[in-house]
Amino acid sequence: MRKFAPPAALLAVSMLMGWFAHRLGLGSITRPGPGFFPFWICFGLAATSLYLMTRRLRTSPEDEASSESEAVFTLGRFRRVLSVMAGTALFGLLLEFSGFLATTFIFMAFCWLVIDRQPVLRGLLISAAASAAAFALFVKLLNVHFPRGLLGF
Amino acid sequence: MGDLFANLYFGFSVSLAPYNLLACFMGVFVGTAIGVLPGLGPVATMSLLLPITIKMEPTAAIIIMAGVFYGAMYGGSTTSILLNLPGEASSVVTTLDGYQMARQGRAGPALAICAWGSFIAGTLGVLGITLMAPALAEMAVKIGPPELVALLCLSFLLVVQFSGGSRPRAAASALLGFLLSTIGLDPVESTPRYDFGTFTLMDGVGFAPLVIGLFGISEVLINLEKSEKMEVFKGRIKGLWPTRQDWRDSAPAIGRGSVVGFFMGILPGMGTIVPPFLSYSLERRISKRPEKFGTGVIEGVAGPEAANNSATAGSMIPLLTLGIAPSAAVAVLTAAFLTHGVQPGPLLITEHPAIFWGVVTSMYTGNALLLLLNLPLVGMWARLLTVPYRYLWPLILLFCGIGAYSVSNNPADVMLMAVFGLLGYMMRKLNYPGAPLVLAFVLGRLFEEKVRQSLVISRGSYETFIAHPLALLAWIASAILLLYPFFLRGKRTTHFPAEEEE
Repeated sequence: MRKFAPPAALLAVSMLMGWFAHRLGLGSITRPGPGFFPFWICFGLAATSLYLMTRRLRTSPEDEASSESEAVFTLGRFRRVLSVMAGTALFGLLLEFSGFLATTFIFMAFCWLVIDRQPVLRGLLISAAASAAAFALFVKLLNVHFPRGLLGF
Repeated sequence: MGDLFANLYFGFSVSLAPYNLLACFMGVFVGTAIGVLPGLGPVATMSLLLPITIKMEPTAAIIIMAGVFYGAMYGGSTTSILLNLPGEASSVVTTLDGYQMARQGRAGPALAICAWGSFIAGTLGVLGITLMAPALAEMAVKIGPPELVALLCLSFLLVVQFSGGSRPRAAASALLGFLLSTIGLDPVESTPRYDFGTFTLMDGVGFAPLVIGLFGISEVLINLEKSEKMEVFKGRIKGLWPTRQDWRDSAPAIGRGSVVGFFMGILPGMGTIVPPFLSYSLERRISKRPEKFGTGVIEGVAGPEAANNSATAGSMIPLLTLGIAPSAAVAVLTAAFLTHGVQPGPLLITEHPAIFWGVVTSMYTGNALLLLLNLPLVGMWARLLTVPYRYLWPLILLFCGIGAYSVSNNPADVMLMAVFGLLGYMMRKLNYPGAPLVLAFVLGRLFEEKVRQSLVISRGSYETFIAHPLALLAWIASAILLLYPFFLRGKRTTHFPAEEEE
């Protein structure tokens, strides 16, 4: 199943994007339109996905069972992955609203306290130190522009 | 020859200017650090530096990025020898004999020969660029859109062929990269494509969010799954000057590794991972004591380390002469050139001689700086390995977020980076290589533009693609690459580790 799902997903993406490309207009061979190139890319991607799927269908049930036994995505691991992704998305969402320093502190604390389960005091201290160091390096030293947010820094 | 010396003199006057020298030092220092630390490769680091270097002078920005690229090759070997864990994918082979040497109390000579081998190979590689690039660039000026289409096709096929693992999966990855490159305004008519009414996507997918997500974030996610316990070499590192016998054993291997690495590095898809493997096989094959390989022989360290360093120099040739990136790391360098409004390719030498010769000569200086950084300071790099990963990963994620945001000051880019991080993680778990996606993404727009230009100029005639002998040659080579797996079916073939680790 795990080897069948990715090419099936790629096939679905290529069909959807290919349909959009067709709607954009393929043009003619003497004057290709904006949809010409993406359409043929989608065609190639669909063909490759179909090849990967048919190759999987030809695999014997024994091989299938042995490959399935190596769990690639377990629930515990994936929960951690999703937490990291959620933390990163939160960083992007909060940046304009609460400014660089506060967002960095919240993000660091989220990583060390929620995901990594560090002791609270140590987690808060290293989050504060890391945010201050990042602020000094990127904002003060390298002059990278970040939103100031509600707190003004 | 007189021109060459004049150009080198001009280049050194640029690269030895205090600001550029500092950039070079920063680049090789950061490169060594990330090479030593397993968990953040040069591709992700260079992408993180991209937004920070925007405000710098173009020459200094490219010098710093190039420094990270070849500096990481030096640092990667330290981890391989002291930890039996490659700091970079290009140092995998070094673990075989390097760690065995460390166990026998010969960590010092192993590290020293790595540093010297890397220095010699890196310098020879840059000499190769100096001699070959101007001549190749002169030839490349005459290349028109149809020939470029054929050469790009050949490059993509080589990348698919040699990116490691399954070829159809690598092809799917490359096609996905092409598809992502079509998001945004059409390069010929400026029609919006796949923007779904959002301003962020109308500008196209940003290079930084894509690469940082695909390589940086996914690397963190993969490392978080692994056990943190690492056995750091605790003995004193002594004997940092190889003996006469060590030199006698290593010198030919360094020479062969330099040649193999340089020429393999030029080929798209080889990156810096395949050349060390080839060098190791070559050394074992021609050795008088092949059975000793894997037990701590110094040639098994010297050859591959020389190969991965000269490969970094070789991989700069297609970029500087044709504007084609043969590996993911060089694709980030391409993005750095483009971010500064400089088009890498055949006209680079004539239009931006200060950048071309400044960058090339900075690589000589950089290799000398790396030798100084890696030999006397090896104890410091070894101590860096004792920092637990649980303190590092949130910082790496923070740098990734800052890197993605600060290219266009758009928080949506951080979200995009998270999405690509998840995609990169799933691709790695499912053995879909990431390098073909990045290369196709970077070169996709150029490829589309040239295909469409060729068709418009030739009034729709496909013959234009084979009219020039160079294009015909590239198509024949592409056809051979496409068809030869069918002839080899059933025969044993060599597989190299996936390029994505680069």
